[in-house]
Amino acid sequence: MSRLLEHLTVVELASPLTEWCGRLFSQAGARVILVEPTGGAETRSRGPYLNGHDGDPEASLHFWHYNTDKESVVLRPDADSGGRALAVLLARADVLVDAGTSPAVDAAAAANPCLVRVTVTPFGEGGPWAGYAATDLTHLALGGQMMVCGYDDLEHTPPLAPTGNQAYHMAGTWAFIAALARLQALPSRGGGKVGVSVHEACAGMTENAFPNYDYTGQVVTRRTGRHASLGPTPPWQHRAADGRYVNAQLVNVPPPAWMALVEWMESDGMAEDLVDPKYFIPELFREHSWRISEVLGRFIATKTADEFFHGAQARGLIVSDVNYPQDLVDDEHLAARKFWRDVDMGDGTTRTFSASTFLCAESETGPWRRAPRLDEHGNALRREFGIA
Amino acid sequence: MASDTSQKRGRPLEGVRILDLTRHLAGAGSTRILGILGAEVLRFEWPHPPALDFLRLSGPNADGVPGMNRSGFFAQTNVHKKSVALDLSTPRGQEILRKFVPLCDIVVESFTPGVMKKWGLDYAGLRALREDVIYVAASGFGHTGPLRDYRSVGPTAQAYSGLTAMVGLEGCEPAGWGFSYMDHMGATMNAAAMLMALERRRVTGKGEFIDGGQSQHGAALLGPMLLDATINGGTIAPRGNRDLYGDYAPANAYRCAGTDRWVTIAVRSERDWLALCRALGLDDLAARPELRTLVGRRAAADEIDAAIAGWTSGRDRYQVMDVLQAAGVAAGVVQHVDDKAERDPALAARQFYTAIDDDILGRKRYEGVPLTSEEFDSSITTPSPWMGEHTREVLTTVLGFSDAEVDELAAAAVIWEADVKREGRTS
Repeated sequence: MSRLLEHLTVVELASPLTEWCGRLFSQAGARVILVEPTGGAETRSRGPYLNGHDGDPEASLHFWHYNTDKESVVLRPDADSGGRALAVLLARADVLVDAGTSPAVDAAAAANPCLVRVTVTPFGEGGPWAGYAATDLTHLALGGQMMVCGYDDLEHTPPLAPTGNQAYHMAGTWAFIAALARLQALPSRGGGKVGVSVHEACAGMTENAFPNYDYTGQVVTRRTGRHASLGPTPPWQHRAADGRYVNAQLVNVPPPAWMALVEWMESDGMAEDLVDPKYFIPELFREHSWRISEVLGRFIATKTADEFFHGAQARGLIVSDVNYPQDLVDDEHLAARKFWRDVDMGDGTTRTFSASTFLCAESETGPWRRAPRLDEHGNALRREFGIA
Repeated sequence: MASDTSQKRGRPLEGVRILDLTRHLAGAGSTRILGILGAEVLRFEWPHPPALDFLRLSGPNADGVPGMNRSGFFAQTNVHKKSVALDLSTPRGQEILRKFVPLCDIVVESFTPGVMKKWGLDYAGLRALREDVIYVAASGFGHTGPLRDYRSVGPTAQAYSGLTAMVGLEGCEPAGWGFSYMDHMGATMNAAAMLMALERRRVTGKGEFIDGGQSQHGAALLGPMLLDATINGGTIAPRGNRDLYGDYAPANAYRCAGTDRWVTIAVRSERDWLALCRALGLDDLAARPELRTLVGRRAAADEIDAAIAGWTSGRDRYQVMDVLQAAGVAAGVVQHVDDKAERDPALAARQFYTAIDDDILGRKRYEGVPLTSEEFDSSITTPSPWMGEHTREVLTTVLGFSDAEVDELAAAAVIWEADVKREGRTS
């Protein structure tokens, strides 16, 4: 079976802004050449590290995660020889993913008229904030994600940033989309450049907040464990008997599912007044949502999170238990979906990496190979491309 | 509104036609992206429950009046599409749908697994109609695995995947996400799936079926926490706004003047640290050698945070950001939606929000896409379709039906047409 994008060669100039896009390419089977500066990619110095190896640039799990299957070469595009070498690489590349323009990179890219270039920058290449410094945290603040995440039942607590490089995930996915879309115009239009702004990627992902504001002039308020909203809403998140939480947003509950839930609660003697037919009327569901949440919370407190998750889904309710990352390692569904893949680390060990989440009928997706050591493929690439 | 120049530039996916059976944001958001990029998106839908997309009834509504052509949320999510109202619960409706398959490059749907197969339109069925079809299934948990029949919406996928748990203060219950992040990211990942298959077909001429589950996409977005879990083990839990792995310190949200006003600051290096101390006048802290190291600043995080908050708390949040940015330190206001729309100079200068007219909705603003290109247009110019607005147009121009055939289908309630004249559509 062939790899999904095996026909593509992508050159990625290493940056926190490009690595998720590069990984989407590499896990789809594209050849991704990672151009690193002399001291190595910035993210080789990001935690978490392999236990006992804090600060070791060859043991950054951050770098390992985002750079599987990539080939590493050290180049300095701003030096003459580096610029020429980059031009040679780009002459045979389909896509360049970088994080900002420089005269040297611009010149190297210009040599290939069929090159699709995607440049990811924090605030775009123009505008009053172009050039401002940023991190994932400051992007999630400016983008509007933070302001709607946090607690409404803990006084004086701040808005909270989601964890896990999400600003760069949003922008990186857009960069991937931009590159692939631009490739479709290659036959008629040749190569070209698309810019991606991390700030704009974030700004466009707060669901209903903007339409609510534009139509009503009102802004939503953050709520614990549930959507921000214009007015108070009852809790969706309840603590189960085992101390874990469940997300029980009763959204668009069809009458059969509601009846099955009430029967389940009633069989445990915990339906209380929810057996009243007034709760069965979909149009009145919102009106009764506080009472429903209160009774449901008491019921959930008698079940383990797993029991409620599977029991409620079996009854047609759209709910889940609230997992932590470590809970996913033994998850049977993810295992069945081949979410995990053992990768040979080249030192006699294997490590378990997360795999592409695109399951294809006709193609393979990765990862296949561990992340590269610094300049691991430098000599081979120089030989292959005829770089002096 | 696009300028004449931008209209001449075209869009990169012109010539691509999509048979769109998606609903909600996670599905319909993906075809929004491809529509803005130039694909012709034929959105098949129906005005009556249970087939009616609940997004059409979700608030906010134009003038506060509910109606399936009045939802601002639907409008935001469905620009650059055509609406074909076809009753897919009927054999005739399914037969008409089948006629579209050979004429479309991509078939995309967000049903629970089994629906397409019931119609004979699983991948094998679609391939029988078009050998090189691209089929993307955007379900909650994917088409395989023990939970394949489970359903999800954004918050469900976020909870299952670990994303919800990783927003919170230490020792507190998960704060979770205040919106459906996985509807957005499900949409972008589904868009990526369609484009990957399109790119493969451009070169190989072969079709593809991609099965992507919203919940697995969510798990993938945990990033390096996944390797931390499989390799290092142990407990992974959020640390409020502090950097999870301590690469930046200090890094936090700090209260500013006003009610619920905050700014975030992240110090990435010793240079940043000294610049921050200078800008804030924290000479005592700057003079302490142990705080020049990341390890030292992490150990003194509470003390440093208190000193920074002491400086920010009486100041305007944008002023704090500007002072620190002038010093080269990463700082960003915790903006709310009205801040972005009215006070963010970067979004304004780059025209991120576009106002377009609709005869029912009126003149409304739309969030743009984060792409800039001198060669291609990616602005939003076409409002969301009214239910069935393009039924007749698409049946006659794409399938070649006569008006009499369309009239008969309407009389038989197999199709449904918006009363464009009555509604007053002029564009």
